[in-house]
Amino acid sequence: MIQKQYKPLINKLLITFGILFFYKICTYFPLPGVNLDMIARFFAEQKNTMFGVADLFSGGAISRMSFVALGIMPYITASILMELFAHFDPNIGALKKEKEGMVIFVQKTRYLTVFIALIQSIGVAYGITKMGEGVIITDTTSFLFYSIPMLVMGTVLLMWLGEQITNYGLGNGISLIIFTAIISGLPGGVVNTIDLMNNGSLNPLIILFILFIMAATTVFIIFIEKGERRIPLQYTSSDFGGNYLPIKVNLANVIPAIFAGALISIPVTFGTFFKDVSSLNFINDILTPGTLGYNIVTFLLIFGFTFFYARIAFKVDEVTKNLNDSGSFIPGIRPGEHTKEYLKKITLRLTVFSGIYLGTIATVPWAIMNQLGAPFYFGGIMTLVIVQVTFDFITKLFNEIETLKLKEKEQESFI
Amino acid sequence: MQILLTLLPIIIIGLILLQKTNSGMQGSDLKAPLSPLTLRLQQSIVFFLIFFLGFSIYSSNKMQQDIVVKQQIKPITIPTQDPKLNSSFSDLIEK
Repeated sequence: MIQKQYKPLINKLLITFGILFFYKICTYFPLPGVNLDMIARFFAEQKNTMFGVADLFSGGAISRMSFVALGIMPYITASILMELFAHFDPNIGALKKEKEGMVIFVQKTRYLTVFIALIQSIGVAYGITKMGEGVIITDTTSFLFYSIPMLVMGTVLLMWLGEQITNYGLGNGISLIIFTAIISGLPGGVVNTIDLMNNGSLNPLIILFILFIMAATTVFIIFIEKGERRIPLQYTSSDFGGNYLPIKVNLANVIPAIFAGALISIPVTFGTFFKDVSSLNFINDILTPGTLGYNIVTFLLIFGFTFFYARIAFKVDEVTKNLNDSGSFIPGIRPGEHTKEYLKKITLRLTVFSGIYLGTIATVPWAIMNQLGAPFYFGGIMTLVIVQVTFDFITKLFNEIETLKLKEKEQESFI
Repeated sequence: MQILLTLLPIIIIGLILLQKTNSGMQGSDLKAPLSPLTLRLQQSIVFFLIFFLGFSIYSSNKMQQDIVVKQQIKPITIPTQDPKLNSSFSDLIEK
């Protein structure tokens, strides 16, 4: 029997899983007028390309040409762009500091999401019509007429579902939607691997090695994600010792990798749809996941974006000001300008490490697995998202349980 | 049906964008300035429209698939029972 005080938690969990289940159902509703057999054949050919990876991140919605095929990526891109605008434009930055301003900021992010989704949906819908004869059952004009608003709506719906989870469920809704999309593709990958092993197409020793790489990548990511650089702090107003300022080792988080992935996918998407253009075909050949060209471009982009995003994630000026205001200082370092310079030096080192770490996990595991002939995609960024979302969800779940327990104790003591 | 498939998504986008919120932004605990009743009503309408759209997509797909199946099946032409031909055939046998 579930105790009465846990009812709100159960409700939150039911809302969360209910919405995620609803999202999964949405991925099975294809755009009207698409010949699904031909689409499935096309994606079977594109399995190890950028399309295969994008399909995995969409939970199979792309290969089924669902109305949620664009996924939540336009919203993530819009959020990142808005963060960048807020960093460079003081007027937008000021919005985030007050209640009404925050609502306007989020609303602007949503409008930008619609705009990005609209551009992408025009590209995707037009691209489908150019994929070959027989892909579209209906006539092209009417297909474009209804598929573009439907694809935009798919993204807006996912954004809204994510918001509903964040408001009424448990955890960050947007992250959980990406997590569900990735996780739902795993059982298929496992079944495929077992089939290949049974057929004798894949050596059991290679499968063991693949499992080892997957486990090692996961452990390495958890180890780094849990790591923090602790800068000792001293308070002028008290004698408390042992205080420190924690700075995450992976300062820039997963965002540089997502942004790099989104940027690379643009020429690849156009290259796949518009096969007549030779320059786009050339880009498509270079940027096939697992190839040397793809790995180098991905690594460099992630490394560059890490420097860019780390400045937004950790604002040295603000931290120095906060330390001053709270009457704390770093032992051996003078407050003010010296502290700022010291923190800049520390964050620069962490950013370099963060860039190398993100670039490595985004390229190396899949490069090795591709060489081994792994029948499914496994990337470090995918694992990083899974690890982060899992930790976040578990932390929030335990916090909820602790809060409910405290409330129960309060009520008991009151009685 | 095509107009419905175009209009419904636009209405859903409009309804969702009307709901002002600040969720999804990290580190924010500020709540949306909408009354719970209005919010619930808008949520219910969005869910209803989504189900309706799902049904429309399903029926539209089924209709189009039926057309494709019909086009793929080639009409089988059964030779007509021409009495003249029949008679000549029987005549031929008799001869």
